[in-house]
Amino acid sequence: MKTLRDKKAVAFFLLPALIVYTIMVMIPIAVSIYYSLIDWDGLGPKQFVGLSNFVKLLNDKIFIRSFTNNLLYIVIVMVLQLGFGFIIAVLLTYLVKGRGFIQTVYYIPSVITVIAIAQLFTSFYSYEPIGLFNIFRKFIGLEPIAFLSDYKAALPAVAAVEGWQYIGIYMIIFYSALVSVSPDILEAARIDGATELQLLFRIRIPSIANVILLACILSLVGALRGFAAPMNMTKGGPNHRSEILATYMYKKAFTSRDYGYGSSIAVVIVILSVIGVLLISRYMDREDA
Amino acid sequence: MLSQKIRTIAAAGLAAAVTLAGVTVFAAETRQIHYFSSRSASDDTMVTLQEVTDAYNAQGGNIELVIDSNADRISYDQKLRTMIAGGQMPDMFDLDPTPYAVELGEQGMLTDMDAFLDEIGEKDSYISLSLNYGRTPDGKLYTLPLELSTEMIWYNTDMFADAGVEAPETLDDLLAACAALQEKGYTPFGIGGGDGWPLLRLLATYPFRMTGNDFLNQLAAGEAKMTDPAGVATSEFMAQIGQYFQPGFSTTDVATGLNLFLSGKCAMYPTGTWELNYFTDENRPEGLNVSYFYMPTIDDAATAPNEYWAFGGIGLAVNPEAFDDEYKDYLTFIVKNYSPAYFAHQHLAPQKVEADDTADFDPLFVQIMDDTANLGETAARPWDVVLGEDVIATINDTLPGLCMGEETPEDFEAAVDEALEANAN
Amino acid sequence: MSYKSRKKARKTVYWFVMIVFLIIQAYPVLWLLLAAFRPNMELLTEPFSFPRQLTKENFITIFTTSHVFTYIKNSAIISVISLVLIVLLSSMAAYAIAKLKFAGSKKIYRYFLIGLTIPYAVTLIPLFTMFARVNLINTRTSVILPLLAFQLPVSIMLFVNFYTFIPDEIIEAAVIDGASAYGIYTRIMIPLSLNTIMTVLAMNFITVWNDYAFSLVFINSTELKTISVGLSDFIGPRGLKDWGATYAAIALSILPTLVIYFSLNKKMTAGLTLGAVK
Repeated sequence: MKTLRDKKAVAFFLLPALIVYTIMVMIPIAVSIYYSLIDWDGLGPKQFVGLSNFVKLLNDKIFIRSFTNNLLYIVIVMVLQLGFGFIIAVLLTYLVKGRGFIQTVYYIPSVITVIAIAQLFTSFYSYEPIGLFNIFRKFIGLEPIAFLSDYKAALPAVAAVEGWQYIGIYMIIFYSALVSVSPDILEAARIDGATELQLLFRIRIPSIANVILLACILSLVGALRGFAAPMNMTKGGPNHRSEILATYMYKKAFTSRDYGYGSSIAVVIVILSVIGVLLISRYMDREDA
Repeated sequence: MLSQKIRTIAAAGLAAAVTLAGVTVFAAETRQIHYFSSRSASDDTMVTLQEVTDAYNAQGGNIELVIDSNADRISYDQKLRTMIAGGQMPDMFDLDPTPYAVELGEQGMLTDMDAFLDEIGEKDSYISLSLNYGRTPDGKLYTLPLELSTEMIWYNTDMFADAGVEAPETLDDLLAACAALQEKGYTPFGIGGGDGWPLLRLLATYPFRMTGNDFLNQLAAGEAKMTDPAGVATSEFMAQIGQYFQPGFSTTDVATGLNLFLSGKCAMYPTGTWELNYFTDENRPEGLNVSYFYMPTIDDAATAPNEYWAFGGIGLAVNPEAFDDEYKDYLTFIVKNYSPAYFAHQHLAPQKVEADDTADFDPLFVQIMDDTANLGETAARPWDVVLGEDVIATINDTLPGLCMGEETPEDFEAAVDEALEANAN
Repeated sequence: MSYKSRKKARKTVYWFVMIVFLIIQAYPVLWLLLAAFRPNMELLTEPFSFPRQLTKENFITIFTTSHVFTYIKNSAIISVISLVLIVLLSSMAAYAIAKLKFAGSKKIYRYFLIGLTIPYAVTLIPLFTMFARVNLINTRTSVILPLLAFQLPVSIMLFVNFYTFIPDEIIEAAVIDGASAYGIYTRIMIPLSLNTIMTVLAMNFITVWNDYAFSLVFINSTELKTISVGLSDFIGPRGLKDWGATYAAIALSILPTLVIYFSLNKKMTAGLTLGAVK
């Protein structure tokens, strides 16, 4: 197959994407690593400071808080996306008519810009004028609370928005995996007297384990990329209670003009992301095997 | 022969045209001046600038003012900084006399407006509180003001009567009034805390009454701490008044805050003259009776009651590299013609304006104008202008918690002092 | 309880759950669209009551005081150019990775996949200084290039997944017939992958159209602003926001995505499952 080994052709097809991608994604990451070793306010001279930005990170209470917040943020996002996505997907498999319609509607939030979604939920969470969630709380006899200003509620509130928005994506991933499980096996088990729950845990879940794993990784990586929802709803407040790594990085770099320090946070995010991609490729290797 | 004649006539005609229209005939290409603005394009300051530019062109100028506005203030500040960091300073932009402006000025990246105004002999046309608002702590002037604003606290007169309180004169009265209003079941104080600046204004009140702007300037210079008497007084005041804010105030935007007051859901609301038209008899919701008071004072105050919030707003800065003769001529025209045009839109202008005929103006506007005529010598300076952006970021992060009772005054003072110290290094 | 009534009860619960989910997913979007037609005052006082009156005032405001049409035009231009480039570059690269034979093709693929996880925000500072140096700030190119680069990984993944379905026998037969590597791409891969192209277009359109970070940081002028950034045009002095106008602009900005979604949603969701379930 000499034709397919044509070096010129390989270069022709591969290089455009490779060059754009390298210049726009990989080189900036390298530059970020370089910036993380300097002290620069965007005006004066750049000063090489070695690893001191990273040492500062370890002693920065707000960074530690953002880091732990980010973990909680990821957990909430994943539970919502995977949990609800899975439940709806399972329920959908029992539906005979109108499945297309329901899928379509469930997926709509995923296509709307997060700026709009953030605006929308700011109104929903509002205390005064009373927002939807507080109307609901009152209805079931609870005191209304100011979700986005509350020290305890702010982080779950912003995480829930990102979680909610992309439920549809996971619903569809799970659904198409579930329907690929052979109906014959399910029917046979039903005839043997298995309940639907047993079917779910003994047959369906084990046979789509791979997809579940992939969905977990996708959701994890997505949550790690989270930024716009907290930035637009609380700006990380009150007092960093909803601060996550990306918002802290952005504020340090663009509000405080501490580009070096901001870049060192960026490097931490990249390291976490690369761990994410290692998980993905490990998964793909398993598939190949 | 004939052609020779035509040529002569043509040359003479051209010369005449040149003399008539000024040199601009040759500069047929319109000069574009890019103005990066923090105000929305429909704001009256921007409308007025366009009007003045049109007038300038009508009398022979050839300038196109291209306004690129970014009305979200936080992203405006960030964008301006990134643009300048990337070597892309706009021809004209909005700038407050912040430490950042000082840095820019030290690097020779801003046009000295003292020199410019002296050169064109227009310095005295400005109201000094308005012009001097733009002065950096080291006394330099890099911006021209576009407005004159004062700030006041509006109150619902019916609620005040019901609670048996009057417009407070001192900060203690204010707290007492809040308590009485709360007793009656009202939300005493509505505030748009989500936008940051309203809380900072309250924070600045106590120190301004105790020391004028000295405490603030010393904080900025690293000569004072939040744990000093003025700092402690204000953090304790904020912890107290915070109990009277509407729940969720820290994410309430100012539009929602304003509306709380207008719909009768809170008894007081702090704002400035830019929202004046919401309070006029004509525009106010029916049945809502309101009045206003200026910054309350304290016993033995260092500043007079007629010294409060009054300033020129974020000012116009000029990129010195673009500031050639043509640009200078244009800016001179703006300085000479802006204020009357802006005043005609029923706003307080940054320069002295002959206001003989105010019959068409709203009575409330005229009343505020009279108040302004009696302003004292100094005015309070906003903290977010004087202190570094890191320190303000820290205050913005921790102040809501203090007001909610989630942080103690000691926590707050410690956090601010830490930020001040980090900023000094 | 008889078998029949138990079945009925189960069915009721089932439908109850389905409908609750339906409301949770659909109500916010409907509210958002409706808010565009409600007076600013009502949005500020009782946003969740049943709308008392509908008005087109908000749309008049955004058309008269802001350049929404310019913004939409800019978003459209940036989207179209980016999409064409994304499809072209990613299908080419995927073809090389999946069908051409060269050392390290797996490594290259993995190198692309790293980009799947990198948050945009990380590259903003370096990209800004880079663009400033080559005078690209405030050009459409400065938004198109990073969008293109960040969408390449996911698009390449979709194409590679699809191309592995195309049997090598077809390609071998074409080679025997004398087709070159270029001919195979234009005459076999592209015609066979029209569906995948639609999927890639549909998925990327949403991301590209909704871009906020790059347009916000790299574009300064009103002339070039995109709609997602233009949404903050309706803020008055000191943060005084016109909510009605903001929601009207939001409604206008999400309309194209909804249209694309409703006409192409099968293709879009097919892309998801193609990526996930081989």
